[in-house]
Amino acid sequence: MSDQKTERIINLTMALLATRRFLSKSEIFTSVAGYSGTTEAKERMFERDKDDLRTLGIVIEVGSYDPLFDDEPGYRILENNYEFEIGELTAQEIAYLSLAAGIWRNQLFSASGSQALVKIDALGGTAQREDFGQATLSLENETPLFPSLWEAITQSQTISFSYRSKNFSERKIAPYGLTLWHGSWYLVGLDLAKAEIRVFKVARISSEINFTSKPNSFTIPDDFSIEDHLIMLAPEPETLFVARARVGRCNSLRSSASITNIDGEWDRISFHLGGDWLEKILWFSEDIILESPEDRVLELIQVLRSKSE
Amino acid sequence: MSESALDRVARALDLIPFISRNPGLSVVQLAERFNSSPAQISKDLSLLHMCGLPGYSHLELLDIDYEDPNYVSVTEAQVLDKPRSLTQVEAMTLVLGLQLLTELTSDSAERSTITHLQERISAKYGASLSSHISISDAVVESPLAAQIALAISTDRKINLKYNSASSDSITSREVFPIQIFYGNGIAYLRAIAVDISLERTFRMDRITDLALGERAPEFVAKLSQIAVPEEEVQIEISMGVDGYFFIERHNEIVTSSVESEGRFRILLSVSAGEWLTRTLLAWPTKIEISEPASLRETIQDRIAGVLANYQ
Repeated sequence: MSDQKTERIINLTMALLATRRFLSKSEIFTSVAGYSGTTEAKERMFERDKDDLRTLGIVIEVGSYDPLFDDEPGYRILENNYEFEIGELTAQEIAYLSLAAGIWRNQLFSASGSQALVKIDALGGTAQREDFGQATLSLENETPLFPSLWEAITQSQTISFSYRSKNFSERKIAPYGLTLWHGSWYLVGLDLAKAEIRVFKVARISSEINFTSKPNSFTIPDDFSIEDHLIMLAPEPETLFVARARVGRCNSLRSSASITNIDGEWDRISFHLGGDWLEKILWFSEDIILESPEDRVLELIQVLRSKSE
Repeated sequence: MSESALDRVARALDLIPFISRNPGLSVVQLAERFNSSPAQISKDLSLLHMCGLPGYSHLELLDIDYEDPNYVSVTEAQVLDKPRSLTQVEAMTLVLGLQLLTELTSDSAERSTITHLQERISAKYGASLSSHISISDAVVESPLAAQIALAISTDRKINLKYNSASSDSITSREVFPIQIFYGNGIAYLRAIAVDISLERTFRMDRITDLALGERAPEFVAKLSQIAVPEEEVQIEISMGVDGYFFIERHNEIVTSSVESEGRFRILLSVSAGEWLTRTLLAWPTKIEISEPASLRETIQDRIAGVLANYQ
């Protein structure tokens, strides 16, 4: 971007922020430095500048410039929309905000965190940072798709992507929301082919996000709530297992098991496990002998045979 | 790398309120804070110096003093004295970060101040945040986080009972805590095991008991000398379509992977030992170990031993 254009957009921002009443386009063209050329050229510049400001998240209010002639629109930026303003903040609160911004190690959020930090430090000066045990938060290695997904959600644009579950498949989705659950992002949206709300792990999206509609192409139902669709929050059906466990071993199973001693070498323990029972049992290898349910014992033996050479 | 067109406008608009509140920083320091170069910041400042309000006399222009690059200040910020509003992603970053802080404090007054801040940000930026984003279970909460954070900030040792998954044993350890970090949503403690003076990582949900010990500031001084000693070995495995999920779950030890015709060839770099043996043994489908042969034998022996239990 040329210096000229950068300068003009900054001047425009300042003029629209400083004004209380709406400024008409012609007022802007005569008073704000940087608008030159024919009327058409200035109009084009102004339209592009407005778009640029919106991209930066700066809200331009459009209203009637003259109450008697309401056909000519006027423009202004409300301080309240422009500024980071959440009321008076104590030094302590500013310190907490700084900490919250600085806790991120993950790429995308460490960038947004350090941008936020600059704004926080512009509120109250470089705050004194308290020590919270130097906690850092790292999510998945990368979340490069996050900005596109967020844009699609807030603009109500449908998207398509290829998704990896057991196989690859192409999905067309009206994206409703995102959830961060136990360190991973999930996308919740209407699967347009299946006409059902589905949950997708963002890390398993194996393509770019393709936008397949214009903005505002769907409305999220009023009664939609992300939490209602998070299958991972639903309690998993559990099965009661009985096994012999070597004395002093299988500690993580014992913490929620009922235990009776058999002899110097073995205890009998009973415990509940969900869908990941096989891994949990195999983890303790020779220190556990599964006794029931019988079908699980058979399955375990079968898996072991398939793993042996 | 050329910056995106609007990044410069954004940075310029953010520089003025920042310098107003933090006068006297150098151009180099500003470049660090704004993730830019000193040359670029100097250009931004001279450009800003030409900007102002309609009229553009010296009364209406921004007034920035940057003649001395070691001391930048703003004497007239005009309407740009307050920082720009947060973006949605910035707001979310803060709300999430605050949520984590509530977990790290045990002080109820502190906790309520932080929660209140969270509410204020959500109230201002909440419309799309709350309807489009759910972060209530962002991380697996650990009831011990607050106590450990307290120990770290007061340089105290911790006595803990640890249920080690790899050795399947519960041991008592005396450690000097260094840092809490969250990886894939799970809380971990980095600490120095006092008896061996080596750094170790503990999963916080496997700490079964914890007591604060004495202050040990001498460890703070020693921190930089403590090396991570564990040697890593290179392992090559191959497996079927669920290799994708293996990589996803164990991304921290995967150095590379190739997929071809429904099979994955995966290279791992990891400290060899019980954890790795159990991880490969417990995976519910067959994992072929190409290298090293000794690991393949260990796991085959283990499988034979388990099968013998069922004869």
